[in-house]
Amino acid sequence: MRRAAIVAVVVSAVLALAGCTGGDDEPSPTGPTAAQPSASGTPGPVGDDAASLEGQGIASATFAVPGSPEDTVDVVIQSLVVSGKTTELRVVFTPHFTSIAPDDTVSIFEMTDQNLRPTLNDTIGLTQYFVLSNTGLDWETDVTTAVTNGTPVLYQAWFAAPQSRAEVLDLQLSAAWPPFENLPLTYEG
Amino acid sequence: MSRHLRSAALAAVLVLVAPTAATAADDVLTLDDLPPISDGMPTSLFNVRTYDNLTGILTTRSYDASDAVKQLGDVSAGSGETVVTLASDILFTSDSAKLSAAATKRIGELVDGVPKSATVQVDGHTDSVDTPAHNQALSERRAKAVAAAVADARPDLDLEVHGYGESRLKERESGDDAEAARAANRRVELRYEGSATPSPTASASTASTSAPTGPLTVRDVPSWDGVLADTTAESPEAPGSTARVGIESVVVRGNVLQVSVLVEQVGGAPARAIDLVPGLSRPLVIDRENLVQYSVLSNTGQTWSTDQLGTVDLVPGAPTRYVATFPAPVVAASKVDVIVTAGVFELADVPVTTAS
Repeated sequence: MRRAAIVAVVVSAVLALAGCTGGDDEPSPTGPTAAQPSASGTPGPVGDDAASLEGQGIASATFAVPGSPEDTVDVVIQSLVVSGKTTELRVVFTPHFTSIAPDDTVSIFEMTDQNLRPTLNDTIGLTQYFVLSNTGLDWETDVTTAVTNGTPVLYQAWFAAPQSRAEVLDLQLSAAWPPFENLPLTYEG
Repeated sequence: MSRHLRSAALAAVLVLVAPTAATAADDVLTLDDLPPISDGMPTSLFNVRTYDNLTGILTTRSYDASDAVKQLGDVSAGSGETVVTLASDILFTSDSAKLSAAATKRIGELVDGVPKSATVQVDGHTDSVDTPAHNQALSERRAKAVAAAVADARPDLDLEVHGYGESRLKERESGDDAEAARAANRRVELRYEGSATPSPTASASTASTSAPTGPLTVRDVPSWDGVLADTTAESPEAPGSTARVGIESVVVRGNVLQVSVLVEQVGGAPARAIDLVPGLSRPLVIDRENLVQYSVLSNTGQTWSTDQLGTVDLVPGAPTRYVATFPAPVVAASKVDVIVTAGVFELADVPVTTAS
């Protein structure tokens, strides 16, 4: 996963130097910057960043960490957007761990007890979509990104666009957590 | 290996972002200030990574529902002989040789086209679970029950009834597919000369093409409150360990049937769920009224389920939820049996609901 983060940095550097940031509406798929995203994908004030991670999104829930029921994670699904050939998922995780010291951090991976494997399920088209990957590296936020208790962190992942124009999909973030059923899709363009 | 990759990546970053001494004085960094791009750089995995395998099985996995639906009476013909294989799991409940009225009627339909006064062999078989003597007796009782149903429908036929117990296994019962092999071995076969084709099986319902209309929902934490059916038994593969297995829901959603199974270890040394409850990763759903068996949707060995949880130790004092996805019923079903571990963790007459 650390390799994924480095790769993300490289990709960002290439895009920035080439002046190809993907447009104002398209956040860059970077791991390290995911904890402080802004709507434009460029660095912004901390306050604005924090605000962008608040709210209920299109769905939310609080789950216990698998194997550590006293630790919980607030999960907010911000969006599920189909654009061109891909579907982008944006999820905000906020850890509430009683098992760590106040200054300790907890990674996205630890929040799911190393079981994070997002899957979009189409119950009409009988199809499952997994995070796009290349040579074992997934197109997603670096899951080793860590935050302190109560601090939200944005997780992004990209999937293949639905083969049929599905209106809703089920989202399974971890096998140990119940899925979000009938999650609405937004189509861009 | 990973260290090399990281080093390569860092080198790439430095190459791309570090201005030369000459450019530092100019204040403004331009592409002209960068070193020339080598031949391999633009296509290096670290510089440009394409995610263009949009339909590979690791990114987009489609399932064929027909592979996961079995109706009573698989027919094969060759060398002038017809063999009708009746899956015992559809015909009988565990360790039973009693046929339901629906099963008796369907067997009669299956032998409707057998040539008049033909000789029909009725052969009972079991898997290798339990003792050979037990299996021999069970196979004989089941063969006789099927023969009685055949005789009722076709008194003109000459029946030769045999029980073979576990002596003629159809598939080897080992490895990851042992449970499926055992299910295939539990059968009663009808053999006769000729190639008469049995009457068609129940017609399939039309698949849904519209999106589910239910509200956006997230299930609560698993709880035994409100569970539809449950049973507690000693694990057949972890002696001394006891598990409670229950069905939380059986729901039709769109073109799938989703079964939520709760498992909790209630005795013995901590164990993984798949060791405690064999078959948990591939339970079976049986509609005994319409004589249809459903398997978990599968594609090249990968199943649509949360079976990876089975490799994790169960949490003491709390149930763990497993969800398996099956094809939607081809014939509307009001209740089904869910076979998690044949003969041990079986839940009968579980009501089926349809998502609103």
